[in-house]
Amino acid sequence: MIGIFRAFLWLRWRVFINSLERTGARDTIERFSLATEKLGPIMALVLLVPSSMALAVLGLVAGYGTATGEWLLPGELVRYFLLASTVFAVIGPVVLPMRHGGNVVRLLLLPIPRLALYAAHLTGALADPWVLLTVPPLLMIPIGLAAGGSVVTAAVAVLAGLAFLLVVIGLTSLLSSAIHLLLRDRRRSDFVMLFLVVALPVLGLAPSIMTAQRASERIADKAAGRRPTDHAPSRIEIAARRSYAYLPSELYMRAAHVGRDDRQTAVLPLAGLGAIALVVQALGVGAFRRMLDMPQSLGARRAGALSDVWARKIPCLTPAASAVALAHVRLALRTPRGRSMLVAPLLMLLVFGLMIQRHGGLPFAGVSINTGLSLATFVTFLSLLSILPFAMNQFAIDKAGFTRQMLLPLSIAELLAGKAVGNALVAAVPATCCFVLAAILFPGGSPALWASLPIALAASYILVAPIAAALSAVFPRTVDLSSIGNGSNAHQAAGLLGLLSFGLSTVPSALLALLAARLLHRPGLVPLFLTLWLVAAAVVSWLLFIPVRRLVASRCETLAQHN
Amino acid sequence: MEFAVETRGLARTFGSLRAVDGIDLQVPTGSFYGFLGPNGAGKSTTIKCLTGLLRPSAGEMRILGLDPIADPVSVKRRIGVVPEDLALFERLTASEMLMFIGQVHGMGDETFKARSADLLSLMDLNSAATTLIADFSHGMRKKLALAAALLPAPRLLFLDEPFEGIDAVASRQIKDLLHSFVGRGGTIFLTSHILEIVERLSTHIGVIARGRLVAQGSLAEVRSGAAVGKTLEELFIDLVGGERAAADFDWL
Repeated sequence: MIGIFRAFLWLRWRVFINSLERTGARDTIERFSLATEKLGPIMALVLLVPSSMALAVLGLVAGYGTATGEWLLPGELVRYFLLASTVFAVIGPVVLPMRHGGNVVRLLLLPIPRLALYAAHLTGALADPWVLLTVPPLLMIPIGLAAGGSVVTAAVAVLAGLAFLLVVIGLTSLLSSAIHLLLRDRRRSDFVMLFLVVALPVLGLAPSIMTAQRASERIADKAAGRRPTDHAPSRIEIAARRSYAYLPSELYMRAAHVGRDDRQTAVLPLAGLGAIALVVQALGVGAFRRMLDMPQSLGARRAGALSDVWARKIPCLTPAASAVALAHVRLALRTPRGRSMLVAPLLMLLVFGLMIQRHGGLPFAGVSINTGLSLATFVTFLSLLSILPFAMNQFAIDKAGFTRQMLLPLSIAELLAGKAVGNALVAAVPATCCFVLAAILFPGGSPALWASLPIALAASYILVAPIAAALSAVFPRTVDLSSIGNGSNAHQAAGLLGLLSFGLSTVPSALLALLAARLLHRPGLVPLFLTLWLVAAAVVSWLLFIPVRRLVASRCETLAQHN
Repeated sequence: MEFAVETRGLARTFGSLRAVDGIDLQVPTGSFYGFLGPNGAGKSTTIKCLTGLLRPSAGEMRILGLDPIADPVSVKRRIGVVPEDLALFERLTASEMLMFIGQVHGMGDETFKARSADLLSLMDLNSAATTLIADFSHGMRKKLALAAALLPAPRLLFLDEPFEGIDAVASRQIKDLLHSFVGRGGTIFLTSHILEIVERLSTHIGVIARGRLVAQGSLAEVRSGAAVGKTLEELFIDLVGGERAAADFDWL
């Protein structure tokens, strides 16, 4: 058994080291591109050591402080850290690149008992950063407690720490297996991933939505010079507070803190934590067994009859460029990441629209979105920003399809034109829907400013299109558009520079709008100014595409390797 | 003699590795040219250079009389390729993949519909025409890649291991089709590890080992230098120097 564990540890370590060492790069640019991508994991690895040490010290101080009753703050910090660790155990397997369950199934070919395989799978979870960071404080709290004279509590804390660790690695393992089971069928996988891609940003907005009413009431009270109204907690808040007490992190803290004075009180949370660990492990074993037993499901699907829409040629493009643009749009329509780009802005419009209707607006990133025009501006630019994973990795997302394009009678100019139009169409669909809906639901404001918005968007996109092509050529990244999070994102450098270029491309439009509307007090001039800027942006873009064509031509060989 | 593919000193290096080391290929127009070599000999690298996926480090190439470096689009308009990795769009259906090829080639709607129906039927892909390629088996992908290569009615076909993973029935039909293609003046440049297929189909062969062309010519010409009665397999092993003592492990 020990030999098996040793082999698994070695396997995981070698895979990690090989992923950092072996680049397979063909030229200097690719070496640079790969090196920048690996910078993140290397930095995280380097930071893991001081972080673990700091958390160990924190655990020691928290344990000692609890025993002596002198310091409470370290204990509170540990409480929030353990809560974060539990949350990561749940979110981590969903958001971070998947641990390959398929490899585990392949290991069945080796003479390893299934239970040993599960134990190895569980041990593998110990290498996840959130678990690795959880171990030092859990080890040091009992030592701190013992040093402070609370030997019994220290013993309880050891048991509670073990149970907590079993819960965290059990959750990680259970969710890894469950996700693998869900994603075995590609169609179901696409649906689940789309749901998560859309649900996670909305969850991020949830606190703002939940407090929006209170915030607007506070603003109204302040404006009216009234004292802020005291509200009784809602039923949801009461329920949330009650269930919070039964979270594994809270049970651990209660077991470790209270045990010194009252053993009965320590026993209950300890028993609770043990019961949760048992349930999680039992479910984990069940899900893991099912993962091993369930044959690969392909769930072949029909995409419907060949629609005539796709047979059409986009005006002003050559047939080849038009084919590239349409293939790009279809990629967006058929991958969870692509669909999320189409759906997310509409969802944001819905959420912010509801907030405007019910509470008069919603603060977001320091700006209050409270009118139809501000809402339209926000969601249409969001539509443009949401195409970053596609636009900034426009060649590598085609995977083997890129090689096919290189084998066909397609010039680089046609390829770039097709990609630019394809990306524009992907952004234009949600942007147009959002613009029209915002105008219908919340009319009002200067018609000239409404008319200026599409012009500003077009100018920004036209300016960014060659930059996106260049960044995609320099920083290609093999991605899985069926996954969420980092697995489907563009190269970090391309994403960052792309975001920056999108931001900068909006500055001239914003300045021209301010000049006409605020300084000259003639909002009617905004569309004219922006149309002139659009023409200038088109010329700049055309000029930028000349060197970009040469750059892409020189990089085709490398790009064709990103299958 | 007119050559569909002609190279002079074609070389491609990857760092210090010379994957293709100055080869002079001569593929006669209208021939079925089998390009043979052991694993890692440089077959796929040569095909990639000829089809424009890799830029040669040195040498000259003429494909159907055109220079593929100077005028790649014109060359690609006249050739069909089944590459090593098949190069298919995973998120297109079989019909859409063919439509994409047809659109890039500027094919008319009627022509496209007629040809794609013929090819899908030949490859037995009619029932999977609206299925995403991501859900295809390896054999189905291979057939679709072949259909994609044939769709624009090229004058020269580059086929990298085209029969690997294809069932016997489809394989027979495809071989017949390729024979008829050559009969009508088309040229095929094929690599395969299955020597029986090459022996049965090819009119000409070229053998590459460690990046160098060690034999080239019609089957009869290549055989003439060898002992009478030798099979292609024996000839191939002689040429690439692959004869080794039979492995006999006493622990096995």
